[in-house]
Amino acid sequence: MDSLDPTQKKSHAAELLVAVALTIFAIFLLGMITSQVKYFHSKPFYKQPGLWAGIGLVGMVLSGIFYTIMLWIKRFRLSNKQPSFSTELKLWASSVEYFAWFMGYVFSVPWIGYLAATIMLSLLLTIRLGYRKLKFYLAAVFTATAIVVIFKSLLQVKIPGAAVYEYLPDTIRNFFILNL
Amino acid sequence: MDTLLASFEILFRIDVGLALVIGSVGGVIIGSIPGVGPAIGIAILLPATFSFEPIVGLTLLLGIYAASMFGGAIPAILINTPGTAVNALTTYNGYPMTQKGEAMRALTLAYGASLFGGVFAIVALITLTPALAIIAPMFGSREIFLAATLGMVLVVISHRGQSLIAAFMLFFGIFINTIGMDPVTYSTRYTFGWSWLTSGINLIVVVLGLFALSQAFLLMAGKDKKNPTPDLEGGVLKGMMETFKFPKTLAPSAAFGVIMGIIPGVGEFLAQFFSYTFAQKISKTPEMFGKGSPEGLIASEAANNAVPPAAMIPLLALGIPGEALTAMMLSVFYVHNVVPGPSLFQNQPDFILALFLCLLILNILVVLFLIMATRSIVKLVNVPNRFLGVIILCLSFVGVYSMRNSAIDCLIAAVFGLFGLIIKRLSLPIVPIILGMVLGGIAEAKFRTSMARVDSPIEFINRPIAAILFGLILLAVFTHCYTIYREWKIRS
Repeated sequence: MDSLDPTQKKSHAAELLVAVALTIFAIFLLGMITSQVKYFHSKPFYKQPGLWAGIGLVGMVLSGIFYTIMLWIKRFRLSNKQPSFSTELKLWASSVEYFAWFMGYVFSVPWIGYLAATIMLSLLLTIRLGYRKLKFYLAAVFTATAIVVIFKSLLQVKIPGAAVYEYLPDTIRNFFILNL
Repeated sequence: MDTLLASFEILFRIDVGLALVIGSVGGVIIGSIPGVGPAIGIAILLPATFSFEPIVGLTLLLGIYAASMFGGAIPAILINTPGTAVNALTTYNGYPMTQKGEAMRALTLAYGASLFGGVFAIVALITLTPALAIIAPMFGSREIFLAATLGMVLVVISHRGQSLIAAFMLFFGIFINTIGMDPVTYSTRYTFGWSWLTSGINLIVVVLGLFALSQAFLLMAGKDKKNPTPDLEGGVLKGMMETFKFPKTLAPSAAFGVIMGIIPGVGEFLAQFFSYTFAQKISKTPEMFGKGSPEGLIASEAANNAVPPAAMIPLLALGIPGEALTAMMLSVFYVHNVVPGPSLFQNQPDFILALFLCLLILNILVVLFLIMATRSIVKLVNVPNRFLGVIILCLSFVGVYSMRNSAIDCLIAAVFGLFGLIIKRLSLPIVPIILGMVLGGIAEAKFRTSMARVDSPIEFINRPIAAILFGLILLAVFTHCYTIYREWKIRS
């Protein structure tokens, strides 16, 4: 579940960076506990709303600090054959593009409709990823249509109709709003 | 007898039958495509199942969970890439068998072992159910709090060599669960004044981000791999029958799966580890393990397929999920106001029995499907990775957006997707975050209820089950600390 390739090597420097970032994040959150959680003087400790947030954050800070120290000590024992730190950072950065694609898709659905947005996303991403054969374009359109038909038309999941459907003739508008 | 008849009545419903077929076929397909896996399948389908009755929704999700273990063995054996992470150990012996020209034999041994593991676990559960129905009512608030704590302790210490980061992720999950409105004092926690955080961060949004979106990003940012698939020669049934020539490996492996499945926070990985090690110890040819040993293959497959039915036990009996997939299934109960726990065993034994029988039928349906369709399923192994990423991205949207039609939920899921990509790349544990969210919520609620009823801390553990659970927590922590100390001493 955690990793596709069990033999995948990881960048120790990247892991150390993540450990430091997570620990700082946890310390920052813990430092805000008095402003983010209300303390009730009349209530016993186990009824305080901040108790479990505090348990979570103190646990994060402590385990984060020890984990960072452990990684720091471990780095002296590692061989030089580590995967490149910059390659790892580049891969993380490249995934931000797909984050943007996804959010673009999310914002386009209420405007152009679930079917049109899904077909557009799958087709454009297929082209963007470098597939140049007709079979991939057809597969992209077919898969997108199948997803919409299965989830919205058959399983009736709650995805509202698009703004553009308002311009459709009365006879087919309802069908589009309910099924596509 | 009445319970049995009532459960048959549930089983013969058309919607349950459809869920069985779709779950078993869908699960095999999901499992056989490297990079998808049951967590993604279940996370995507979860919101869609909220409109179904609990038995239909659970059958569908359980079908995907159990059947994906069968399907996951296919790419593990044929192309040395596990379809699901729990099939990783299958590659050790399955792929060497393929290299020797025994691909079909390896596949059918895996099917046979998986079938045996699944059926063994279900029979064990049906036999154990009356005992569970007696024990379950003995679990009050403090026992459930301690069981949830035990689950959290076990999920941390089961990540050997990664306990510190597993603990961090668990506490992170506990923290995420507290964000939003406190249900008792109605005051906000860590909302930073943003109204959209008042309702908290939904478990399914986090699950879809960490499992599905992260996988989509990871696949699209990576490269396509071309994996030549070998020819499959030989019959399916003949190979499956060969599995039963290894009873000394089969039965203990399935038993390990059942035991590890019942214990919250442990799951398939430790079940496989124990069964594999045990099988190697009792084998007449231990040197063959890792080089194409049928016993090694059987041990890992029988154990991992025995876990899904067993994992339902802490969920059904105590309302405590043992791992991420059953944590997701807990949502199905909550949506329908069905509270899993002791009362479920007392009030709805027909539901419990029907669920176990559904699992039994599922295993049989999966094997029938595999007998007919193995040669076709093999082609799925080579769906290009990045194209698969596009499909997962489209599917993830349905899962997140259909819950509340909220773009904010999608944004949160996408942020967790990026975080998931980083932790997957670094092979850090994800599951403790999910269990932290679920078990942390249970522990918080039960701790508040229990503390109001006790006058001194000792009263917390003065009941037999509570004392046993507390003892187990201490034992687990002590054993873990001792193991770390021993390893450190050996190294130094």
